[in-house]
Amino acid sequence: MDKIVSTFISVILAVGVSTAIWVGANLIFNQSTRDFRRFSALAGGVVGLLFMTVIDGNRLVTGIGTRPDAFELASIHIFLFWPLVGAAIGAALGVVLSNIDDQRMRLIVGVVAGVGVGVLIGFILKSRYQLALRTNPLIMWPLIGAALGVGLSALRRRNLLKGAVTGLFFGWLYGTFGGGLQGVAQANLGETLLATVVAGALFGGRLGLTANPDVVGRADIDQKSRAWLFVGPACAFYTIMLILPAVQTFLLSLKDRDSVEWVGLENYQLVVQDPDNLDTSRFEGFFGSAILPWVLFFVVAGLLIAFLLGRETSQPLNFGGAPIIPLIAAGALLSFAVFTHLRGTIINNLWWVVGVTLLSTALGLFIAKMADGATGEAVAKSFVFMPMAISMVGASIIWRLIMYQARDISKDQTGVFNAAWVWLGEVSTSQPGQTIVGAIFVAAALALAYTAYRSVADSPALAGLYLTVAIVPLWVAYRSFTGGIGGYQFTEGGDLLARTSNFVQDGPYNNFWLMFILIWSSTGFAMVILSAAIKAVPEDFLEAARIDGATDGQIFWRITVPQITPTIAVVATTTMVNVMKVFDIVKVTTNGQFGTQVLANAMFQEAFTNFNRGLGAALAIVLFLGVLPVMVYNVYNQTKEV
Amino acid sequence: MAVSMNADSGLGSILYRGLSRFPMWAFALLWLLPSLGLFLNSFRSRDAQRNSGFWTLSPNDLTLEHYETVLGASSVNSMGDSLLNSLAISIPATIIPIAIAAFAAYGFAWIDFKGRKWMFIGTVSLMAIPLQVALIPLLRMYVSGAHYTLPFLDKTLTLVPAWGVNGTATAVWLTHTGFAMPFAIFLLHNYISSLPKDIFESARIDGADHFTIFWRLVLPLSIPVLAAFAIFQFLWTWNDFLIALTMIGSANPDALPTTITIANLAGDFGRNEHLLPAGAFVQAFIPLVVFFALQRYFVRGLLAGSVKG
Repeated sequence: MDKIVSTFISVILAVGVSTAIWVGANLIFNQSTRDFRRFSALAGGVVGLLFMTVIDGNRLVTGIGTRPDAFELASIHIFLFWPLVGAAIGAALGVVLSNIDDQRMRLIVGVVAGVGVGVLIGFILKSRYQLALRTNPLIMWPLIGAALGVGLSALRRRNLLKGAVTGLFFGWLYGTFGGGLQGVAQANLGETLLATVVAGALFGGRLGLTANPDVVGRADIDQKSRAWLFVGPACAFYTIMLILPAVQTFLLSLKDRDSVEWVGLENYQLVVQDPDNLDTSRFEGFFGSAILPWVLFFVVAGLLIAFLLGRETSQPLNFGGAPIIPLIAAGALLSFAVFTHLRGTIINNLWWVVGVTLLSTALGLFIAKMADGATGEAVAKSFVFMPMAISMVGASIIWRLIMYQARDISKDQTGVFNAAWVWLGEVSTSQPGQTIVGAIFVAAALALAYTAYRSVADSPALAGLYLTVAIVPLWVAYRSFTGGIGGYQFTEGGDLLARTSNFVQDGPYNNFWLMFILIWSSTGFAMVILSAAIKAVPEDFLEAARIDGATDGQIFWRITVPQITPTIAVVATTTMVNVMKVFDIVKVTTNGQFGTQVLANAMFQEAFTNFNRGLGAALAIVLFLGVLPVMVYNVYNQTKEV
Repeated sequence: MAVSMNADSGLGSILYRGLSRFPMWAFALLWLLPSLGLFLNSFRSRDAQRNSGFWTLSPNDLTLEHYETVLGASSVNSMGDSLLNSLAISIPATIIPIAIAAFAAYGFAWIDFKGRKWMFIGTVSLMAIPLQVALIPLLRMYVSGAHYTLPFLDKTLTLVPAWGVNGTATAVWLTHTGFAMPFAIFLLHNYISSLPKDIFESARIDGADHFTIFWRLVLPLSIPVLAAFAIFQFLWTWNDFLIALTMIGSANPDALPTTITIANLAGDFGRNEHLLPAGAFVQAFIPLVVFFALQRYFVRGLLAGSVKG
């Protein structure tokens, strides 16, 4: 409890102090257009304060008393002395310079003040930080600095002299404090004073060279400072937390496991050559896959419907509406056939991307369309939407425990799927049950077929959907008459085979059952966005189509869908990026075992469990490269809009 | 083709109407089933949970025992501490990004500066960077600070000292803040840039500076989108697993947030499986309340982030 309180206090303090600094900076820069003298006094004071605070805070200079280790109110003067002196000098210089307009006078004042500050700092610097200068860096770095300064100024068409002085200043600092030696016997006050005084003179001279800004210049200060004040903090955050670490990760991926030696692309080779990541050895099995006849069936069904629709509209084939659904089913099944015969982490990731993106977008569109304007729309939609609020960890636990749990077949099942599976097996292998189940499922198939017949006028797509769905009960009925379905099945020899299905562990389809957890949780997102897009289609368009005699299905496939295609693309790309990064589900359910490894989990294991930083970084970069095409697409869309 | 137009009565039509609504309700109930099962199971005794499905619910099995264990202060499997830990992460990780992103969104939308367009595009494109890419160096920075060796001189500057944030809530919310920036700026920018131009012009004519405009005009007008982002970010940080696992994970067992606690319960060789439904429900309770109470804002935020216009 205490640590929570202290966390909150420190958060409140941090937020308060940052807000105060931000508001204060705004107030100071407000003065640049109102009262320039006040502005330069304030700005000079703040710069002086910050500079001396940094120097004094790092204990580089001798204070006016013994500084206690921790801050205490009684010795506050020791903490405040040098910062206040800095503030006073800065403010005084600001006032003086803003009152002098004569160019030569400004230069003299600037240099003199700079020399003064240099002497002061040289004297108060603790002896262990005194310098022994070395000739080479002392000559080289100021020259490099000046050259850089002149070059940059020439590029930006600015004053070359000012650029040269700025460059000299930084070069001098780098050559003296960077290139000189500290903490050695030869270090002495004289060379230290040389370093600080020249630096001070250069800085003061640079200030003196700048004329007091006119009205335009002041407005410019106001504008530019504001841009940085508003945009700067965010940029700083994402640069430190995102861009720099990403660059560093790339460099780490070229080093060995402890980031000592450069190893080139070895880590990437490991990623690609490891059969755990990419295994194509079983692909011949694809051609004998039991799924392929189903793919063929759905393709033929789609083409047949397209042909029948085409006869009505005198086209060779008409793919608007109904044929789409069997063809999507065929595509999904085909991807299943492919992915079940390729193995490995990278393949799993691709399978996730195809499976989850396709299904959650399609299901989201389906439920958005079904619910649109129906009674109970809000309730039904909130049921679908609710999983979004549940964490992936929670969702994984829910599905593993409530839906996928498997026990021995001799016991009562506690998971929904296996309970249904076993129940189906029991009834479909016993006599009256077999007939009853068969009859019920035949009836269900007939009802769906009838619904399809009735809805074909309104919406051929829905009719196609009903027909496609009707395959399922028909197949169940067929199986229940010919040897059973579900947990109990007769083998060809006539023996009764009884077992439950362990959805999480039995590969390769366990990948799909894990995917379904993510589909469960992301369909709501697709539904909300697509539903809003469907409602945003202008009523005029729909009205005009209705007057022209278009059916509901035609309106949906010919008007609504083209109108919301950009939104579908947004949903699909957003889902894709999220799926690519999937981690929680795999970590919690299988931790990558049973052939369910994905890139994010492999990366976590390598980097933080096996402590192989190089390989972990390489896996992270592979993940990034996978997201890159989507990212390029998104950026392209953004640039179009700006 | 005209069949469905006039035949509104009769068995066929009733069947048709029933069946055409059937998919929506079947789908919605299927989607509800797992959560419902979890909720019911959380009240069933250990034996009942282990030996039969939640649908065999009987009054004899019901107990509040699991909630007492999970919420009780004394028990080993108590989640009380981790609930507080989660709050210590989620609250700063929600408030701080909102403030910083609101400044930036205003800057990108209404302050003219050189390279504004390209900087904005760059910022938005960062949204797609998988956060895995940043984890290893960030953890190293939290553990041992950030150091930079000056080129051509063998002096190492310490940019960030090793300040002991590793394994604390601070490391997690700092990380969340950085990662949230691109999306937050994108979302708030969409809204703030669509505010009518006239109000800014008349405020400028009246002599208001950017700071006043931001404080007095933009912030009050942007409450809906700020609320939307707040809910979004709160849910995201509360439910986060990866960042907390990396930054706190094994380093500090006292600072674990709820997601890690229930994941640990789940991983314990099934010993505590009977506590899982209650634990998972406790973990999901706050986000569900936030979600249903403020659903309107949340949906609006999602839409503003994804559908332009």
